[in-house]
Amino acid sequence: MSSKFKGYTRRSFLKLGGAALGGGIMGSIGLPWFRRVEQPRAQVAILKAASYRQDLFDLIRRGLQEYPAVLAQAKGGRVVLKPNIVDHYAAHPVNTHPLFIAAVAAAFRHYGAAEVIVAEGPGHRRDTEMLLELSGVGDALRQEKLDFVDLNLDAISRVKLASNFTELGQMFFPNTILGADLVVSLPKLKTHHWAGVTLSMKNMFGTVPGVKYGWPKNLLHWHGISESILDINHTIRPGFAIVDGVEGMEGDGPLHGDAIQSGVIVMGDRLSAVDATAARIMGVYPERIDYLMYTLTLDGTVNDGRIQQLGENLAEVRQNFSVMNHMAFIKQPLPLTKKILLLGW
Amino acid sequence: MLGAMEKQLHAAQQFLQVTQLTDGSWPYYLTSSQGSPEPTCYSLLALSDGRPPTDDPALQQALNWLTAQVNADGAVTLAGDDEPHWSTAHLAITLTHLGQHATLRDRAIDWLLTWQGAPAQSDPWGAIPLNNELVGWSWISDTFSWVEPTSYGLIALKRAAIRTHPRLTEAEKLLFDRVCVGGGWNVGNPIVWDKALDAFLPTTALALLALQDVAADEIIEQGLAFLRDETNRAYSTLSLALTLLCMQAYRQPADSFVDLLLRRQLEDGSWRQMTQLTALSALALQSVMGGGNVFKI
Repeated sequence: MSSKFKGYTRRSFLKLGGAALGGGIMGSIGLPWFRRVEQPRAQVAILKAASYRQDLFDLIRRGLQEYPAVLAQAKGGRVVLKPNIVDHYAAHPVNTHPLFIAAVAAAFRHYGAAEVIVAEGPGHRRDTEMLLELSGVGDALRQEKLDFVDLNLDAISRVKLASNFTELGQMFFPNTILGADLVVSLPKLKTHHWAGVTLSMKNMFGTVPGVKYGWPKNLLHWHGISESILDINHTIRPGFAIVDGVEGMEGDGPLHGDAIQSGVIVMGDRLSAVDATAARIMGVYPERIDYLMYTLTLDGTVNDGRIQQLGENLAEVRQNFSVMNHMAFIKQPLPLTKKILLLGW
Repeated sequence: MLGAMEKQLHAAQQFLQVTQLTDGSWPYYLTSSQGSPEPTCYSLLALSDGRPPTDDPALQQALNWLTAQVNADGAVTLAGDDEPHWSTAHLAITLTHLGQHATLRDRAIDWLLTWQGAPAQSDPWGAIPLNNELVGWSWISDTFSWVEPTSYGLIALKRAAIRTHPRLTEAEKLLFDRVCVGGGWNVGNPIVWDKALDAFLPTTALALLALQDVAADEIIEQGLAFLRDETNRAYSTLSLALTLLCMQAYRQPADSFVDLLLRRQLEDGSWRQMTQLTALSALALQSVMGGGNVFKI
């Protein structure tokens, strides 16, 4: 992959898409009708879950049955669950819920994972012990006898990035992530005041080690949030995602937004498709989210025509998440011509 | 209490002795075999406990490992990396405290004086109201200045007896600029999108340690009050150890925090089986027991 988007804004990306059609440029985006054909098919399961007190284990266990290849990968292997544990504000649902993490761990154990580890490298709080206790995740880990690895302080190795949108070329990652048989992203369903939404792909920022890059992981912002999301995910290749949307966050996410009873769990083995589906559930247009559009240059899928929805009907669980004023555009559909140009819809 | 403290300090030191890697370094985690500069600096200091490290082959080995991580510019680098690392400030503090390798220490200080954060990226929405002109120290090259590395930089320079330098003046201004609403510090973003973000205990303790030689000020008093109140409400090993070191430096009462810290020690002598936390806890206890405070300016 030789293409780079460093320095491109959402606007210039859209312009580039138009140029690709108008000028016949077979560049990094390519012609949209090729794009449509190239986008692989994906299966994304939507499950209704009204409360953390219901039997989440059984729900997730049944959902996972739809992904035999993922279960084969997990069986006998080391599964690393990467929740979103970023800060603690008692009145705001900032983090992946402890009961949700415990249920996912139990489900992978049920399917024969030899080892299930919970691992996170909080982005700006260095005091992970404090965060685990305040968030209630510490209690869940003890109750379920789950090991936890602070990815900020793990042993690290430098690896060549599988894509180079950031132009960093190489980055350090924790050995716990690099050595996993299966990495599962467990994000919270949230809006984000810089990225629009924060879901399974953005959640992987927590795999960037503080021991090298500090707290916060400022490097990622300097090299572009969307570009960083892409390079990290393309390099680590998390094999599965399960979005905690039992209770989501709208408005000024990822920390100060308001709780919204969204009542869903979204899962799948192609993270771009999971995030595109989760965005649609939030009432957000995925083609408005830069990093999701960037995935089309790799092996991503965001086109709803290429995503087979399992479980609940998306229209029945769709909500209207509020967003901050400067992000209002993510709730507006692209004009049809642009949509056709970019996605071949 | 002193007897119990001595016993627990000894247990912590024994834990550190058995977790030293064969190359002389310490990892963050008991289960890791990859040494890191920060836990190695803290462990070396906690085990030296006022003795010259040259008296003990294991400590000499640790010192050798640390000095071997320094590049030609005087900066620490991580294994397999060629970029300067933020723990150069820790190396300078360690060498100053131990009175070792004066030339190497001076090179580290010189490097710190040249290494600086970059001004903030443009903020077209004005979402983060900061004085973006101020520069302190960053975690990695060519990025923004944050409270924690800026505090380490200030402590390293001040402990090396550099008391007047434009970098010090500017870094102190930066810390005052980044103070949270109501007192204390977080990573360095007090307000984002009109929302006041919470202060954190570890960064508040470190910022206060970096400012301990600054004349009494309302911001300092607010920070100390935040530490006292919050550490009594919700705490962790890291926050207790740093709060203790800070309170000792400011000659503030801290007995209740000592008790809380001692109660968290595990049977193997460690705190959470992590060398960095165990070494910092040991350093805090040594400070309370009348030993040196590695962060005392």
